[in-house]
Amino acid sequence: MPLNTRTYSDLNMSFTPNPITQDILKVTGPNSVVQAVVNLVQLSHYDKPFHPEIGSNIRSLLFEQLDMVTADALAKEISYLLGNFEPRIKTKNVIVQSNSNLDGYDIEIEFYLLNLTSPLTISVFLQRLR
Amino acid sequence: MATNNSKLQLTNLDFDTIKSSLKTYLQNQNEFADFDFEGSGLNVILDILSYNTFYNAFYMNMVANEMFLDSAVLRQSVVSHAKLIGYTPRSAVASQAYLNVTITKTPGDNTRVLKIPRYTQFAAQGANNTSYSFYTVDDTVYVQNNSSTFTFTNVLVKEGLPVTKSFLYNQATNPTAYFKLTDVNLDTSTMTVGVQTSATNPSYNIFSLAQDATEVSKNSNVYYLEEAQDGTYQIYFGDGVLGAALSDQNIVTVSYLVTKADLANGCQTFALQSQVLSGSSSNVSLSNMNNPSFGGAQIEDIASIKFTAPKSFISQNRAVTVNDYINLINKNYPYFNAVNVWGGNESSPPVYGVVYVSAIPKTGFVITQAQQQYLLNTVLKPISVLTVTPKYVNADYDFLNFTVNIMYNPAKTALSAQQLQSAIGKSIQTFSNQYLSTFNSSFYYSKFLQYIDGTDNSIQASQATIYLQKTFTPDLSNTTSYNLNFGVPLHRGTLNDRLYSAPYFNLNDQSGNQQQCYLEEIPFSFGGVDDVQIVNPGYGYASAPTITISGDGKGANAYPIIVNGQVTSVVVDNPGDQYTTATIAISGGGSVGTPAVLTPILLGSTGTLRTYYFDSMSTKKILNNNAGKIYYSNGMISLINFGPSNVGSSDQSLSIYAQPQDSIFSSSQHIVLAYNSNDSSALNINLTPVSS
Repeated sequence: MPLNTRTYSDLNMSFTPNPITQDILKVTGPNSVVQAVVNLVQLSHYDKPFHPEIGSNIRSLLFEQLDMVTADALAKEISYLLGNFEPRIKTKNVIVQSNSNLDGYDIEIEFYLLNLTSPLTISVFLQRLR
Repeated sequence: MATNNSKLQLTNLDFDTIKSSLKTYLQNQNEFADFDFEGSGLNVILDILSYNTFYNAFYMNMVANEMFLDSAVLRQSVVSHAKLIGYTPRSAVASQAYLNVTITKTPGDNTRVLKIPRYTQFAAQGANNTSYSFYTVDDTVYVQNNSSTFTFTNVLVKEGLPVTKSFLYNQATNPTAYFKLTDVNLDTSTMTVGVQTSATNPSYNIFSLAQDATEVSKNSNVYYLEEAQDGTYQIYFGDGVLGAALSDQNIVTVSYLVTKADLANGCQTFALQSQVLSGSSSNVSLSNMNNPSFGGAQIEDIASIKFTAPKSFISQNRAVTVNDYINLINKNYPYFNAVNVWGGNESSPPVYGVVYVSAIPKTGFVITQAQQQYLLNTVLKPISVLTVTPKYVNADYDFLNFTVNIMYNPAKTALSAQQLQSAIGKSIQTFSNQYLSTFNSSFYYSKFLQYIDGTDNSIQASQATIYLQKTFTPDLSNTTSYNLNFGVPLHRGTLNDRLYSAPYFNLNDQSGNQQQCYLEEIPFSFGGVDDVQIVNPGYGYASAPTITISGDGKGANAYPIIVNGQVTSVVVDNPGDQYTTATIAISGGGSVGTPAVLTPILLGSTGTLRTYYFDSMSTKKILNNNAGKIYYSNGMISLINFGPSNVGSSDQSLSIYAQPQDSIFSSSQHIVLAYNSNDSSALNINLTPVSS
């Protein structure tokens, strides 16, 4: 397949088999990129073997005090992470709001997928578990 | 399904290249495209694959490394490989000393036989006032006649703590008859093994270490020794074919010394601790304290095992070649910094049937008489080839003395002149450690200057004068001749760089007055005729012809010896002087045949030594114009009838200083080129500050 027609395609992280072929399902196009962005946000330093620079400090930030300062730090971490390690997107906006009722952060990542005119938005709620 | 025609690289060993190789592989498929993005699920799977591949590659590499003696890094692997070629790494070795023990009987004591039993304890003081315990390793028995004293000479004591372990052999639980000795730093050479038949049967047999499988029969009382996996040792017994087998309920008793190895070297003050000497222990005196304890060494390290094991295998524990001797000495007697061995056939004149051994101890310069005897009788004799006698020759040191002239720019260094001198001294020490102080060493003048110039950026230029110093202690009561062997070609001296001696020594002048004398080389002025080479002896001389030497010098005179009408030799009765060129004319003698052709040799290969002193008016007086000879080509100095009554140094030693002929020179056999940094006169540094 020529490169200019290639679409993004990745394994579906649910690892569900296709009921007929028994192959693991794929995610393609923007969904594949969205899945990668969510994965990246959840990646800590030293998660990848021999590459401690890939990842972010987000997990430990969740254990900081729940306030605007930490929210701002989270936003910067996410922007830095996506800017460096996800070349397929151009981040438009990262909005992090502390949610004291649920003891976590509402995170909205707005980005452009390269060669796609309309922005995509991912909404994640991050909460410390332990 | 993914389809792919590309090939995977199999030779990559690190994580990144393995992963990159997998990515290259995936680039040619059309199923998944996200492998190159760090957040993708496929990338995570690639990480796992790469890590797993890398882990296996590393593990396999380690396994492969440990499979060979050359590349193994774990001690247990190295020891195991050595075992396959019949090499047991040397254990720690206890420091040892020889004591003279004198026991005076109390009045009325009629004891005639006295024994110093095994494991009699002596306390000793080592460096930093640390106490060590030394023990006799065998019984020593002395039978005395009527004297009031018992004198035990050269009683061998070894440092350590005696340990005795007993094992009950149970065939059912220990069918291979292995017994593990859990002590580290045990000296296996002190080990004794005995086997008692059973707890109820006291019959006891001593077992010895099996050295050679060909000498072991089914009844041989031998045990085998090997290093266990964690650096300890284990013994095991024969199977009834190669050595006697144990029987059930045998009691195996092993005793040995656990030592502090080299830490106990150098102990000098010994005192008897055990109170077991026949009721006379209060009257014990010890002597021979001047020979400190020696020979202690740590367990053989991995590098040494790798180096020695293959050579030991080649030599089959027999000393045949030079390397056999060196390796077996290093293995069995690890007390030396360096060992050199050469055959008697290499000596001048050749001595056949003898192999010479020389060694540099780890501390000091020479080894004691007791150590020499131990080396020859205990270490070398059992492994030497029949008809070849090993002989020990003390290492003979040429100490290098340097006068170094340095031009340096003080603006380019933060060091003071004194600090710079000290730094240059350290550089010379580094040079010495690299190139000197061992056998077959070489001095390279250019490298020597490189070390000096590299000391500091401020050094602009350097130049050095090198003297070789040979020290000996003359016999002050007898007149005798001495041969001092520098072992390297010597420079033929001129007025300013001739051979000299220091300090003074006393000789009587012609009037019988004692004078403080010195030795010096008679400075070489432009060539006298030292010898005449016979190019053609001629023919038919009826009588001796007349020889006329002509040239740009004066005074040379010689006459020929005629045998059967031919010139067989020429005697130079006056060498003359100031010659740079000379020819010889022959006349007379009634030759009827071909006249002889002779060529004068101006540059002689020998020099002459003379003794001199300064009289009360400080006038230099020559005492003896022919005190000795210098053989420049082989560096031999011969002193003829030399009998000083005193030498002006505290230890009565006299040094002779001579310059080497070349700026590159090497030592051989027992000659060692050394630099003694403890001798303040060995290094003289002159610093000259310059501005650019």
